[in-house]
Parts: sequence; structure tokens; C-alpha cells
Amino acid sequence: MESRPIILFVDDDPMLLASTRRRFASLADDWELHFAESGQMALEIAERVLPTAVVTDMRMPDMDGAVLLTEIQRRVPDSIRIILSGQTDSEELAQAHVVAHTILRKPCETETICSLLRQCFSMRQRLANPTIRKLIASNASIPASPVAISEILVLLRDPEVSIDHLTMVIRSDLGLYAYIIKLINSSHYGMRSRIHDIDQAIMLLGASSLRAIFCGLKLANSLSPKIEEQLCADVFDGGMRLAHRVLRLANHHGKSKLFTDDCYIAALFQDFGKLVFAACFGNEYMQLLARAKASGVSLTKLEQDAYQCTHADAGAYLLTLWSFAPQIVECICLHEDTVEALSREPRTVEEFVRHASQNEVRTQ
Amino acid sequence: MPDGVFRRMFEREREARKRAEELLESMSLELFAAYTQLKKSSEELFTIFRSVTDGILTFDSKGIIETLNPAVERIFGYANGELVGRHIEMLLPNHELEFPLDDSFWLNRCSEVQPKFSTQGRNAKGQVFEMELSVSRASQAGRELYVWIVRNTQQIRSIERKIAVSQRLEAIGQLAAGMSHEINTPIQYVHENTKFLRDAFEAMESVLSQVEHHLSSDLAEEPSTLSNRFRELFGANRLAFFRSEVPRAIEETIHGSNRVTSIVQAIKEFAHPGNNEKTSLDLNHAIASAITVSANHWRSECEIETILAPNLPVILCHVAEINQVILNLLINACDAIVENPMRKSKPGKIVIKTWHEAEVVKLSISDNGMGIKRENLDRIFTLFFTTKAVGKGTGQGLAMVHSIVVEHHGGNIDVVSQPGEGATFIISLPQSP
Repeated sequence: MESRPIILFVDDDPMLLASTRRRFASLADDWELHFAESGQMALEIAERVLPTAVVTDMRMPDMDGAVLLTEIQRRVPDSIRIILSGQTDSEELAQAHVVAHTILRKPCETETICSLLRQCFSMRQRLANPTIRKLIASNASIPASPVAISEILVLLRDPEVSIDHLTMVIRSDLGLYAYIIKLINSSHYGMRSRIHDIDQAIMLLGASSLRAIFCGLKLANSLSPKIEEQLCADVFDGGMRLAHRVLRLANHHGKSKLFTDDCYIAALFQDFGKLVFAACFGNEYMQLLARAKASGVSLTKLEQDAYQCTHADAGAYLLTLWSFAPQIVECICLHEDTVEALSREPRTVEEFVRHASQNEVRTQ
Repeated sequence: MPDGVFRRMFEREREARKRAEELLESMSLELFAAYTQLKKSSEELFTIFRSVTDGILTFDSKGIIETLNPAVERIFGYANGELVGRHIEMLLPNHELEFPLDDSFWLNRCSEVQPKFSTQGRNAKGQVFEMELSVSRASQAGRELYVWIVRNTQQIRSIERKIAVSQRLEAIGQLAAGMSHEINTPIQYVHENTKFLRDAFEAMESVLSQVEHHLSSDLAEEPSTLSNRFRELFGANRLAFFRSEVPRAIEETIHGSNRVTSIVQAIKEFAHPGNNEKTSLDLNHAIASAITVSANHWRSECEIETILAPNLPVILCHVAEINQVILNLLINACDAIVENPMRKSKPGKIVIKTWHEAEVVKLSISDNGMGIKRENLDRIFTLFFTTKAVGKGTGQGLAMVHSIVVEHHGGNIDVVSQPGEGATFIISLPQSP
């Protein structure tokens, strides 16, 4: 069991800090809380306490939130980094996306921050290996196919690029897909409810916003291991197959659009963790995949031995950091755990996906 | 008379005549050339006279119109030839006619110092419009003539007004983005404090109801047991914490909501479209509002010091315009600090002062930013001149400041700048222009 999480709040407005301190006071037994009124002060505290999570304002004198988080990322690479900003200028925040896992918009309820942090901490606990926590949280790159990334960069260079064209490339790659969802759900784009519809997300973001964001990511991606195209294609195809199956199942049960969408996304991202591992370990993970296939030993077992966690855990953690809805993330992280067949009618998202997945195995 | 003599005389005569003829011929050729030249240049002059867009008109000392070009008829809306021989008073609005339009009236207006002035004209339909006029006096063949050069400035004014409005909207738009940040932060802590107060009240309520319960049911209890029980009760409900935090939470909530109120108030004042009437304005108050609405622009970049004269007389002005002047200068000062390549070594600072000298109220805004290059000093008030990066400035701000202060309010702007050290803008406004 890990020691209790350490959270560092940073804002140049002392009254905002005071109200945060009051509201979090009842949680002081579970979480260790620190408060800083400037970036410099935050760095000094971070150096000393190594925070699990940092929640910072964007616009501050001397050192802004993005600069602070870049520094935090360097010193405490496994930290969870959240920006809480009153800013609405998306160009300015585009930069911040590279270092921040989530951008929340003021005014933001303490409950929202709390539940996001709690979700992150609980997913983080599943990663026993600190190296992996570090790799996932510090990696600014997107676990996407290198071909898709270069394609999107070429497209964005064209000032007249059509949204349809962008959508076509993005929706055929899970890494890009997930990243767009992260961008749109960072609530500074003004959305109250979470959006998982990729077409809508791209439309709302617009090409110029995407251009600003992807420019910052170009470098980050060129530094991390390249993911093999074949793996990208396999994970995508597998996800797609399952997604369509669960879609039919949910429709058959007359589920609501919202619920069906959640099932679809949860199924599509089922094996997203494989891409995350591939982005972290490159060739090493490819060999592990090959070994699992050749030897018949379960992949989960091999992953547990090598990394003390499964690709399901890794995928779920990154998607949590990227503010995917909890019901979706839980479904993804559990998908390798449960083996017993469902005895009753499926009810939750997780049960629907499991049901569809077991049907798939049976029919194969 | 001998033949030879006669012949010689004849020859001489013929010679002289021939010379005279030659002379005559060359003279008349010259005359012809001169005439042609004269005709040509007079035609040229006439063409110029007819085609210039400014109206040119002459009248005699009695005010009877003698010559005019088509531009005059166009400007005043009369038909060709309609004005010749009529009195000049028909081109002026009634309120200009209080004084007799005699020689001395026009003489007063032939000023070397101010060769042209703004006044109003009256067209054929009786409509009054803004025009710019210059009057000069000429003598021709012993009599006095007055010459008008007149230009319709109504359209220019309306374009200027449109630019002014668009500039103001642009400024408000930029501010709105910043303002949402200004408001979101206090709203966040007002909201969170209120929720905290709710929790605090629940805890206190639970303690109070239990105390009440004890008091009513358990009167027989030993005082020592009772106090222990209360102590326990207080501890379990974090009463000490709430008692120390609640007053602060209340104070800060009031502070936060005051902040939102003052921001909203300031926005309201700034977004006020204003009307054409001049109203009185407390410059110190306007400065405080400008500082509030632009807070997001400057707060993380510099500090602002205000040295405002108490008992500053109010000025009669177009309030929305003067607000805009202050805001423009303030934002420019802040931009000069941000763009200063040396800013890391010195913290940004803006000083705003007000004072008054006799009937004139003065305002100065100084920054320690990058200053204005000497070669640019003359051009900073020119429309569309900017040294800011593309997309950052449109070059309209200072031009508007100039036209508002100088033209609309009869005031003055002085600029002092040491490149690399900063700049000071001094605005002088007459109390009642």
C-alpha cells in the first residue's frame, strides 16, 4: 500500500487558495495538502515533498502554469498535472496541453477536482511499478501510429485543410482519437458534459486550434519509441470489431444514446494499453507480445512479470489522466481481470462490453 | 530729282519697309505665341478650377457671389449657375447670421494663424452640415474680393466615428476575454466559501441541537461529565476549526463578491456607448475603472502606482471617449513593458498621475517599458501606424487618442520618451471646452 497522495495547489490569489484549503480540510486525513502562491514557491515545495499531483492556475506573474508544470514534469516525472484556469484563450492554453494532463476551467467545483484526483489516484495504484508510472505520466507523446501522426502534421500544414479530411485520419487511429477526446474534455473548451463523439469534437476544436496543439507535440513524439504500424492496425481492428458488437447488443437492449456511446468507446479502447506499452518500451514490448503468442502463456501473466501491471492498467491510467469518463476507464481496466461468464442480463457498461467480448470469443 | 537719288531713296524706303514688315511679322508671331500660351494656361487654370473637389468661390465686399466652381454647387446642392449674383448668406446656417456679414466679419476670418476652420454650411435643401472653410482676401482692379475654399467634412467625420466605434469594440472584445478570467477567480472562491459555510453551519447545527437535547433531557448529569461530553462533541464536529475559519470565509466571500461587482460596474461604464452630449466626469474615478477592467492585461506583467490629486475638478467631456483614451494609454504602457527586451532585469511599473493647472486638468501615464524610438515619435499618432507585431496592434489606438483629445475636446497631448527607458504621455483637457 502506497503512502497517502500528496497534492500541491498553486494560485497567485491567496483568497482562492484559502477557499481551496478550507474545502479540502475534511480530506486532510487521506491526502497531504500543500499550497503555494507562486511558481517559485511551488517548485521549492515540490522539490521537498515530491507531490503526487499538482493543480495550478495558468496566469501568474513571473512563472505561468505551463512553465511551472514543465519544470515539475522534469523534477517529478510521475506527477499528475492539472491546470485550473480562468483563461479562455485557447491558443495560450494549447501550449499547456503538452505538459498538463487535464485543463479545468474556473469556476470549478471542489467536488469535480476531488473526483478527478480520486480517479487518478485509484488508477495509479494499480501500477505497482514506479518506472511505468513515470513513463506514462511524463510522456508527452501520443501513443499513435507514426504514419498517422505525420499524415496529420502534413494535413495541418495546409491552411485550407478540410475538417472532413482531418476527421478521417484521426478516427482511424486510437492514439489520435484518445488525444482529441482529451482536448475536448479539458473543460476550457466550454463543454459541461463530456464528449466522446470524435466528429463533434474535431468540429468544435477547429483546425487552427489543432494546428497550435499538434505543433507542440511534434517534438515530444519524435523522442519516444515508434509504435509498429501492424500493432496499431491490430489494436484498432480488434477495438472496432468489439465496438460494433457491443453497439448491436446495446441497441438490442434499447439502451439510451449516451449509454451506447459509452459502451462503444469502452470497447474501442479495450486494448489501448498495448499501444501505451509499445510507446513506453518499443521493441521490448513487441517481443513480449510475440512470446505470448508463441508460448501460449497469457499476455497478462507475462506483462505482470515484466512490468507488475497489465496493459489494461496502463491504458486505463493514461485515459484517466486524459479525463475519460470513469465508467469507461473502469471497464477498460477490468477487461483482463474477470473471466467468469455473466450469468444475468448485462446492466453496466462494463457488463455489456464483457458480454460482447465473451460472445466474440465463443464465436471464434 | 536725279534718277539715282530717287532710286536710292526708294531703295532705302523699301529696305525700311521690309524691315518693318519683318518686325511686324515677328511681333505678331510672338503675340500669337503669347496668346496661344495664355489661352492654354488659362484653359488649364480653368480646368483645374472646375475639377478640384474643394469648392472655390469668390464674393465681393457686399457678399454677392461672383465666381464659383462646380464643386461649390455640388457641395451645397445647387444647379449650374444658380448661385451667381446671390448673397453668400444663403450658404450659411441661420445661427451664423446673427452678425451682419460685412467686411469686418470676413476680415476677422482671414486668419494667417488658423488658415482653415471647421464650421457649418447650409445646402439647397436647408440641411446643415459640417464643412471646413478657409477665407482669404484679394484685391482685383481696385476692389476687394473674398475667396472661399470649402470642403465637406461630414463624410470624413462619419468615417472617423465608425473607426472610433470599431476600435472601441475591439478594445472591449480584448478586455472581455481578460475579464472572464478576472471574474472567474473570485466567483470560484465565493462559491467554494459558500459551500464551506454550508458545511460549517451543518456541523454547528448538529452540535447545537445535541447541546439543546442535553440541556432539556439530562439535567441530572454531573457538570464534569457534561463538560467532557461537550468537549468530545466539539472535537468530533471540528468546531474549533470552523470557528476560526468561518469569519475569514465570510470576509473573503464579501471581498470576492465586491470584486465581481466592481469589475461588472467598470465594464458597464466602459461598454456604455455614450451619446453626443458632453457630461461631467471625475477623471480619478475613470482611471480607477480603467485599471480594474484591464487588470488581466497588466496584473501579471507590472504594478501600477496612482498619484491622483484629491479635489480634482470634474471635466465636461464625452465620457466614453475619455475612458477609451485612458484605457488605450494604459494598455499601450503595459504592452511597452511586455515587449521590452530588457524586462527581465527590471520589474514593470506604470505610474498614473492627475493634477490641474488653472482651468486645465492633466493626466500622465508613464511606463518603464521599451520607450519610443526618436524616428517614430512623429508618427505614433498617425492612423494605422504601429510597431506592434501583426495581429497585436492595428495602429488605430493612438490615432483615436489624438483625435479624441485634440479635435473633440480641444485638449493637448505631450509625449516624452527615452528609448529603452520608457515613455510618458501627458494629456491636458480643458475643464469645459
